[in-house]
Amino acid sequence: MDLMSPRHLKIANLVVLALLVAAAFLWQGWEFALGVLVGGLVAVINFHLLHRTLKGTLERVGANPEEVKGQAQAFFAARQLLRFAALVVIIYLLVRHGWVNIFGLLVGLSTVVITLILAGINELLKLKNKEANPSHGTSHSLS
Amino acid sequence: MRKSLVASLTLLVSLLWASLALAAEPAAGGASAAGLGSFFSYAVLAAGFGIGIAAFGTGIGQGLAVKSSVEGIARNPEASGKITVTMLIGLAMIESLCIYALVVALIILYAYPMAKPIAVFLGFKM
Repeated sequence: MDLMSPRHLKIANLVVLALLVAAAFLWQGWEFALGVLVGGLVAVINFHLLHRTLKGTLERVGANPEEVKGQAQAFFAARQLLRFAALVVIIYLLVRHGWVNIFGLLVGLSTVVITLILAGINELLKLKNKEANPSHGTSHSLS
Repeated sequence: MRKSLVASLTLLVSLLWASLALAAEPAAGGASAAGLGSFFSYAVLAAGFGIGIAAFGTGIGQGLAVKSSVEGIARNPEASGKITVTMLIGLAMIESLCIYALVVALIILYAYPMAKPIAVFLGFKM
């Protein structure tokens, strides 16, 4: 499976989140697991929205670069600001009212980072395999 | 060089003023109240500077990433798929740093786990 595609990255995010929640539940109990789940959902939805924003912006630029340059910039900036403002409000409410475990929330927010690191390691291993056996391996190069 | 020197000096003077302002606690509250007040003042300052520096770095990083990606797509539109995925991964990694700084700043402000022990140490009944 090619992990380096947005769809597969999103699926991998959910798988990593499920594993983290299960591990957190077994290790620290339901309160910590709830923190991981909420933080993970925030991170995964944030990643999904980031992808949609980027896709929308680049589609606008790709259609006619010169004419819609300003429009695409405004679209990207507005979406980024809205997304980040929503994120700030959600995390503020979660931390301020102590609805979830703080350290669980931090672990949950790391879901996307963990997935990307795992995807990077996977690509690196594919490259190593490709060097050892040129007929197999990834389609991406290091450069 | 001169610009960075001026910026560094400005930052240094701002920090000195901040420390002077924070040192000027009212004497009537007693030593422990002053200690607790200065502790929470420094906590607020740390949270503010923390998220400020993180947002500054994130802004520069994301701006450079988007600039390079858009230039790459403009030069070679056929590679737009791979460039978009790489940019998505890069932006997510960069943004997560700012989210961590935000969470840490909010923890310092609202849910600092050492607040009670420090208040008790300074003689407050919690």
